Amino acid sequence: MIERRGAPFIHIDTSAAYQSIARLVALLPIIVGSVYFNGLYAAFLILLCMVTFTASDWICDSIRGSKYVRDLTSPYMGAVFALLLPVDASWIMAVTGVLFGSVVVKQLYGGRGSYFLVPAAMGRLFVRVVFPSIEPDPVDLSGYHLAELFVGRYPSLIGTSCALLIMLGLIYMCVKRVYKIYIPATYVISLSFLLIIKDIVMGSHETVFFMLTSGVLFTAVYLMCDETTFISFGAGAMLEALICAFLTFILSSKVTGVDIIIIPVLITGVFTKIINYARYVLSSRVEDKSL
Amino acid sequence: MQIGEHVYSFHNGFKSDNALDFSKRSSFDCDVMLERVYPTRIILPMLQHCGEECVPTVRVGSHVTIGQCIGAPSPGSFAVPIHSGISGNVTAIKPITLPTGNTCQAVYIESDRKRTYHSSIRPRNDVNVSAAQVMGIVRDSGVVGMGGEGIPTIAKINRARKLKVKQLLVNCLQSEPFAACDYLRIGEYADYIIMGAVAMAGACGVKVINILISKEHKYEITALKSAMERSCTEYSGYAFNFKFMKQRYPQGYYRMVSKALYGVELKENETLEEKCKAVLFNCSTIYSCWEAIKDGIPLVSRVISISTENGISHNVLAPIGTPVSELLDSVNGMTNTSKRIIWGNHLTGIEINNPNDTPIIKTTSGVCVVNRSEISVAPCSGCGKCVDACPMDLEPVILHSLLISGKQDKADEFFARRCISCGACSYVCPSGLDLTGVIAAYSSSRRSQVRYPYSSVNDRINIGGASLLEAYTEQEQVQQVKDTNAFTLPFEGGKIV
Repeated sequence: MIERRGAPFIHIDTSAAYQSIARLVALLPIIVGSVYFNGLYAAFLILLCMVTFTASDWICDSIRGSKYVRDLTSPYMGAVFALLLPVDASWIMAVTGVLFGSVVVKQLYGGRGSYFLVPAAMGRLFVRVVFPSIEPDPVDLSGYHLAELFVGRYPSLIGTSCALLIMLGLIYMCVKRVYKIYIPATYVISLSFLLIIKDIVMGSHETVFFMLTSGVLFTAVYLMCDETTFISFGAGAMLEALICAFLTFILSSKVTGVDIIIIPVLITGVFTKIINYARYVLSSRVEDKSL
Repeated sequence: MQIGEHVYSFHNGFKSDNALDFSKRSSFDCDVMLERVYPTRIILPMLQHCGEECVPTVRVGSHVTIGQCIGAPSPGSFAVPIHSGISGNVTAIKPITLPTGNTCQAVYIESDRKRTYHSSIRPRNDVNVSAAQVMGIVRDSGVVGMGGEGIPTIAKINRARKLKVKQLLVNCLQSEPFAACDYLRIGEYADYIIMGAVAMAGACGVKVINILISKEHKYEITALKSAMERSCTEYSGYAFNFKFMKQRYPQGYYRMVSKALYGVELKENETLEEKCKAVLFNCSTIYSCWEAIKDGIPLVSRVISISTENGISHNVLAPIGTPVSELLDSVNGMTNTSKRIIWGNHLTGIEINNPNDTPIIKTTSGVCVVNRSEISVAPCSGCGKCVDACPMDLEPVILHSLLISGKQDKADEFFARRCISCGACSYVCPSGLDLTGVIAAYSSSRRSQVRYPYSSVNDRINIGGASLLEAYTEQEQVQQVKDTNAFTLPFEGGKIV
């Protein structure tokens, strides 16, 4: 939608379209890496999810009578969902998760800017519940070298294994000024700190292993950068990252697999909405003698 | 001279995204170059200040000279005189509607290209003037706040004296992108600003002068320091201090200065003078005051920053009343441009369609030319950047949604009327929402319902929410004028016409 209006007559260069393009570009290394590690079927799943999510958003926007915004957030969300799937997920599972994320989680709550749960994460949780068999059996990774874990040469979800490529994506987003480095840094550092304390208390050495194989780096970079469900800057964002890290730490000993990636993100999203609502209500009730 | 190292800022929260610091963005560099513009004609509206309209003191066909008063305040009114910046003949006196929406009489003067000065314009031999003399000169020279508010400077002095302020603040915090006219004044005429500040401090009855500037402007700081050293013998008894401020738009606004320097958040009808015991003058205003005192020249010209998005930008010295079209003629490629022409600066200006008939006035600090492309608008993503950018700590995203859904009462609960129309929220909004347009329209409509009293005017006059509301006209002067149809011509020896 284009409209003509008054001041200001200049605009910051990091527009919504710019941001979504930058985020999608930041996903490219992961997508390429996942195809390299998992074969062409991974490429098919990723493409299918991106197209389905975009088409679903477009149809929902048309039905609601609002104009579809061509800012690439839909294919981004579709790609993120696909990267959270196991390699052998069927196309039906993929489409089911995408439609749930797009229609129920995103569009039913008002579409762009209005939803309160990350559609990709919620869609993945839905697939996890509806198709319990989708989850791969836990694999013993103790035989893998640290370097192999770092580059993603081990059985995992499609796009959460390669720490190297995830960090490349993070650097790109930070350089393009669409994501603040201190948000994932707060998450990763605080989670590592908690895990180290746990290691010290329990006498174990699992921190590095957990950080590289659990998919939390993917959470920190590609899920927490969603501006609609997460605060995108400042002390609030850091507090949110701390909360998410704490939830991840608590869940790390309770759940396994993809749950460690998505559940803390979903709970934090709800928590953010409650805090925001309370803040708005309180700020409107502050007594102002000047009025 | 004391140099404080502390850096003040109104934005004391987490320094996450300093998108409003335009000094660090190379694309916003502005050439500090001064070029004089000699227009073929000028248009002088009789309302160029915050207050009431002046009355033309010339007739069609009259010949006027540079510095001649062509508009005088009617007795007892809250106004300052208006002078001609060129010599020539008055071709018309007719109503004009300014981009601000104000309609008033305007005097059209065609230049005779002789640049003849009025006989009253001559340098002052002895600049050791008393406080009363300074006030008289400032009043008669028609100086108003040149930072944008346009409040008559004499009104500020009177208020400062009445409230017994302790400090004079020199505002060197121009922070809008491309705008550099104040910095040019500082760099080129630092002596005038130092001596002008001393004269104004004397008039206000203060001894402490604080210069507010950001550390990034090293050249201007050096120029001011050098000027202080050169003229230190002439201002003994006055203490100059530098107060370094963080470069962030809109740091120069008086409410932001109050918040940064004194930690005081001014309410809607509170002033710096009252709450912080300080009076704030823009550096260009101070320059004009000293020019009037030393050179005897009333406010007839000002520096304008002409800029485009493409980096073509420079400063020109133009007579007040110069049509925008003649200003743009001084910039290569801008004559008869098809681009959007902005009267004012990029963040707060107003688009105009008739540059031939739109003059620059005393408060116009910039003219911008921007491309016709518009911003692509998307639904709000809820990122909250507008909240971080708002200098008044408002929640623009909430206010916008409340106002467009017609919930004005609810918007009032979120303090919508506090909006100062700075444009910061719309500038940073990634979704391109017109936050400023919606909120500022509402807040200005709410503020215009408030009426403020003037001390020497019986009626209450609506001036749209200006903060400094002190009539400058002294009672005794009003009484001297017996004939209610007569005017005293400022700068012309008190001639009554």
